[in-house]
Amino acid sequence: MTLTRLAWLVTAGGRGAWGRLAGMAAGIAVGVALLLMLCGAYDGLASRAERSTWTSPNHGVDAGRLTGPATVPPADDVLLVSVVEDTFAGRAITRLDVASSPGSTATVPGIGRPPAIGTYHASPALAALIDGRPADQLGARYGSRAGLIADTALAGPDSLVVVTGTAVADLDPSRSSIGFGGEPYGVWSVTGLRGTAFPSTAYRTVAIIGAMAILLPVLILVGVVTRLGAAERAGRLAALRLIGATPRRVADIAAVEIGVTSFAGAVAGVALAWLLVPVAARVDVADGRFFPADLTAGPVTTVAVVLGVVVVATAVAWWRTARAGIGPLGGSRSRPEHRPSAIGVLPLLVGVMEMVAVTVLAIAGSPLPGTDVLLILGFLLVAFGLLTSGPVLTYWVAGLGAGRSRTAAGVIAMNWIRRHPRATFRSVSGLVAALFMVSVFAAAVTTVRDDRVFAPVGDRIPESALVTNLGTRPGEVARASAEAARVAGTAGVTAAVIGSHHPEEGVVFTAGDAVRLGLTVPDGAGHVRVGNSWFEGGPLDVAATAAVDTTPAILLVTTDGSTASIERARTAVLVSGLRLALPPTTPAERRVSGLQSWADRYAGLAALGIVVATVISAVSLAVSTVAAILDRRRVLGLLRLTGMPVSAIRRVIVAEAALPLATVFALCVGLGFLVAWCILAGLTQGRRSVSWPDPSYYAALGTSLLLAAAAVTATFRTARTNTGLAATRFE
Amino acid sequence: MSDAPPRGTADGQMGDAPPRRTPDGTVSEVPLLRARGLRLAFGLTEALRGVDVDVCAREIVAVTGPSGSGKSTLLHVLAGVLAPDAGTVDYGGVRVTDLDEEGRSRLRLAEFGFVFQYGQLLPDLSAVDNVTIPLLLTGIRRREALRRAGEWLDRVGVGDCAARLPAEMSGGQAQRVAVARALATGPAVLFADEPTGSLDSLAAETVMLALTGAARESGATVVLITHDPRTAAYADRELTVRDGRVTFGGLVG
Repeated sequence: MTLTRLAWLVTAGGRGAWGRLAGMAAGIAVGVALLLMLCGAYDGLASRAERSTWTSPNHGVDAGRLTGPATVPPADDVLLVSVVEDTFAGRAITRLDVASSPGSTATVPGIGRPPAIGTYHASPALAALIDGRPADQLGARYGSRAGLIADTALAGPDSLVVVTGTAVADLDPSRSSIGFGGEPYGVWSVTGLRGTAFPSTAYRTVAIIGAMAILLPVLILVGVVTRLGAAERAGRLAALRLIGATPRRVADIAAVEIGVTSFAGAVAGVALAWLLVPVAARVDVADGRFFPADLTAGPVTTVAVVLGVVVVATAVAWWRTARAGIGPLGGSRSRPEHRPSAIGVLPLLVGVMEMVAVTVLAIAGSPLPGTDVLLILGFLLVAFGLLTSGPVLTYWVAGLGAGRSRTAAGVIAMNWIRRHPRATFRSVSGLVAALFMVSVFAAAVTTVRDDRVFAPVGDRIPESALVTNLGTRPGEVARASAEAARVAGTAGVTAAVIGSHHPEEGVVFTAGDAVRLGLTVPDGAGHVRVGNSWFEGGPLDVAATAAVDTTPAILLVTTDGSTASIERARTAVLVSGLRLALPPTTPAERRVSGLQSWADRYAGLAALGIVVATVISAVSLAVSTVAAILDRRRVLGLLRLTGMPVSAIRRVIVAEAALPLATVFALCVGLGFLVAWCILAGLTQGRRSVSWPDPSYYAALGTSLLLAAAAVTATFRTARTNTGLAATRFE
Repeated sequence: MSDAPPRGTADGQMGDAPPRRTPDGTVSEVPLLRARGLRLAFGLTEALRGVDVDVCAREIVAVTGPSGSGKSTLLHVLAGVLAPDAGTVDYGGVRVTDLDEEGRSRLRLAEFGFVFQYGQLLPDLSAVDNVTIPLLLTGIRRREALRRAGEWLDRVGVGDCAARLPAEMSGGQAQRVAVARALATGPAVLFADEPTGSLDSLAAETVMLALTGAARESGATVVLITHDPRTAAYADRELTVRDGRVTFGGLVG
């Protein structure tokens, strides 16, 4: 009889065996599907960044920043590019103003020849937005449309990008953009625009950490499902040993069982991933949705994942069975684990001590060389140490609990955990890893949180007001005033006034303009000074002042507050002849710019990662719980037969899941905060710190615990049916 | 009361017994456990075909018969583990067959003890912790449960195994721990299903001495399922089950 047929006979006999094999294959299918999507997303993040970051001209070929205004058209193979962050109804638009020679041979990604002066190419999403609004709100900003930007040059289907053809004279090297997300300011000379896979170290680091946060629970899930029904399998294999099969033969059979099952599961996983990718592509994260192709793993990756999972699962099954030493009576006896060594706590202690020491030295002004590398190493050591110390801590806590338990369920659960601390902790380790990662991230992003206290509405600048800095040159004062008057005539605009810099602090308006803005002017004042904090949302500070410098420095446009009026006013400002140093923005848009915007975008990505990791971990927890019940189904069935209520078995299940989680829950959260503080304070020599995280963090914690509870609750029915009378029969 | 063993009737329903002579000489006139007209089928297989059984207080009754005769099914129905298709089981003044699953579980926990052939001890619990489980389930405090468990282990002769795991004990020792666990709650009836089925003769004798000795000492009634005449010899009375019917009932020896 061949090994395969023998394995088939031994492992696939009966409905229960089929259920076990199906459960195993289903778990592997889910794991493989997630692995494939994870690989696809990791590659996708890099490829979409590489595809779309050509909008940063500083990455361009032969890139050089112009130090003064260009006066002559560029050479045929050169593009002059200025990037501006535009906004429409709270959505950021990446705008590139491109000047080229009439016979330009240079190309723009997704477009080809650069657009002629007065024309533009827009991304499909922006073109749809433009088409859906009156021209004076959006379309008029860019000229006439010459075409669309191809998807091959965009991050995703929601990208808002526009490339406008501009005259050389209209490119102002002093013009800036509002973001601090790496957008270069000024005018750049390039011979080609190109993207980069990882535009920043932070981007790569977040991608790697996010991938690890999901990868770990997925691997744990695959490991857990292959142990499903281990005791039942051991019983069958023991029967084989009884009739003369050698230990090696038995290990071979176990390997064939897992190999065939995991191959079937892996193939199903490929199909599942194929079905899930379009769904996942609809999820809006960070910079918008993904193109489905960005989440699809390539054929090489797919084959590697399938083979990798099958080979590793098969090898582990062989090794595990050979090492288990199943004898002729092996099925009837439980094999407790070796007691976990206290050495497991060492990586955690070393990691924590290293991070704290490096941070303290940095704060004290004596940073060690390579502080950043040391902190990252410490972070990895703590993450690893959390997983190695989990079984040890679980064992210790279960030991304490076993002596103090007052209920039958407590005694059964605590002693089970004491004898199987690794298996017990493994079932929640995915959740533990997810909790730690989310705690680090949630604490770290608090450092860029905008905690300013704003003045009450009515005492601060209206939310519907647009403010822009002007780069007006001497001799352009009259023209600026005329342009401002033209903006003031726009529908929905209540005032458009120009202010100048006060030599000490603040902006100077004429008394008439101040009245138009609704400000209270001191009696007899010809000019007033408004403190700078008012423009940032602080309280109004108005005082009479003498007009010292009348060079226009700021344009303030107030509107009736409707989105249409704000966008009409913005368009009017952008198409005016005013020399803008910054794009016109509302107070809300200025608040979400910069680091806060960066943090918000990655917080969204992190939250999605944590939810995915938590869901996977919850599935692992449910599977582990079922496996632990199946391994003891006969003895628990006999106890039920003697009168132990099902509720006691439920309490056993809850205690076995709750104890390891509770043991490390506080540790995960606390270490997450400590690690975040060490990284921030260590890298900035104490200039940055962490504070209490946003409510979304507590929501993520609550969701994790709820999912864990749901996973455990879902096993109650299985526990009841599998510990019935049928489980107690001797055959 | 008659000393003569009851004999079978024409229809083979031999479960009824007159009041038995008990070890301490007391006589129970009223059966503690009474079953009438028990029928139970699993699909097309009729495991019980109209069984009547009376078991008196403090009596040790052996139920014997070949494999597949319906012995274990009869035990499960008498103990309220299985509900019969027809017939009644009365324990004391309680009609067991009228109770729902939860009520029967409570009855088993409070009034009955069980010993099985093997594998009934929780493998991760020491002997003494295994014995405490039913005590804790009945609401006894842990400290008291541990004390009583220790006493019972001593009574069945395995006090020195208290801290050992089941895997660290011989089969005979594990069965005696199971006997201690079954009797620790002071059950009125002890159901033992092939308690020596997986033991050699010496271990079987040790276990049966412990089981019957402890049961007599605590005044428990014992319903003992076995196919081994040597084990059945420890009983006061023997019922033979064949093809779902009680075909013989009489005093042992």
